[in-house]
Amino acid sequence: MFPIKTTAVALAAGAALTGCGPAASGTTEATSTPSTPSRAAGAPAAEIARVRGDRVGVYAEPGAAHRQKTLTSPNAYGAPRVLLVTQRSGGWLRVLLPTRPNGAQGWVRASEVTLTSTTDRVVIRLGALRFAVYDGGRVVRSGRIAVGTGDNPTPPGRYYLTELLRSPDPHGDYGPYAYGLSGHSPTLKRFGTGPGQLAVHGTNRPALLGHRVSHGCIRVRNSDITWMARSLALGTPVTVQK
Amino acid sequence: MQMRIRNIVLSGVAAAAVVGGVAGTALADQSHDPKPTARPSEPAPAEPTATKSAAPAPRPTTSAEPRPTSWKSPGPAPSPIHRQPDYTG
Repeated sequence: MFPIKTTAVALAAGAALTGCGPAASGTTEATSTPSTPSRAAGAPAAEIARVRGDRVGVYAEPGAAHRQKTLTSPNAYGAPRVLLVTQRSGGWLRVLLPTRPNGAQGWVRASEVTLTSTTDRVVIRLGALRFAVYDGGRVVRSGRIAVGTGDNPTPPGRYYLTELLRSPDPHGDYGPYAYGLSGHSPTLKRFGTGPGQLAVHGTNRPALLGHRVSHGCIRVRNSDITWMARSLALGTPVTVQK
Repeated sequence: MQMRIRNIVLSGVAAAAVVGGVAGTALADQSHDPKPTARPSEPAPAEPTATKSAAPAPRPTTSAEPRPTSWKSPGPAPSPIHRQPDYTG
């Protein structure tokens, strides 16, 4: 389960941000660039905002008069709404949105969310066809993956885990578990009854791992997705690299 | 009066036992469900492998920085929702 030390490190990281961030402007970056050596010991943890009520307003900038959109909580799958924080400014948080286009961001009132944090992150390497889960600078799990084809590629970018589903059929296409991602397929606007949402999930065809065969989702071994389901909190950052 | 004091003392002991039991449970949960490490058959990619150093001092509570919301533990991994996924597959 989630280690308690994570919280301690996260709080310390918050203090570090307070000390070295651009305090004069009242704005701080919530996370560092993933996969850099500086991400190792003592690096900032990712901040995760969990919506307190049944919805949260999203604004183009702090203090804007009109909201751009409203996100409900729970989300469409019934999971609590979480958002990955990328920046702070006064009583506002800039967050990565789970909406199209991929990488879209907006501002929410910090008073409408509860902040948690994690030192975990997932890195997907499309070129190597492998994933790695880091706890701070340390790799704690890695393995082979299958990703999207040339026609329906897995888009590189910065995402986060939005919900965890347990498949009714653990031996089906999705394996025993599936983590929804905040990103979407660039080519499939709909898939089944869904909006073309990307995910990390298991598979019933492990022989295809190491190949580009999916519609954009990231497939991992069932043992790997089961480990993730027991280890990774909603909101955990996922970086898809070329 | 003496009975009353004894009851208070006993109540305090009972409360301490309960608190101790809860703490013990939390520690036990961590100890038997550690985060696995990478499998030997799949060496981790050449990424930064530095281990964590001691954590810096806790977040100061007297900072002038806005504290818009409370911090709390992220808690355990989420409870999975039993539902058919409809992702891109």
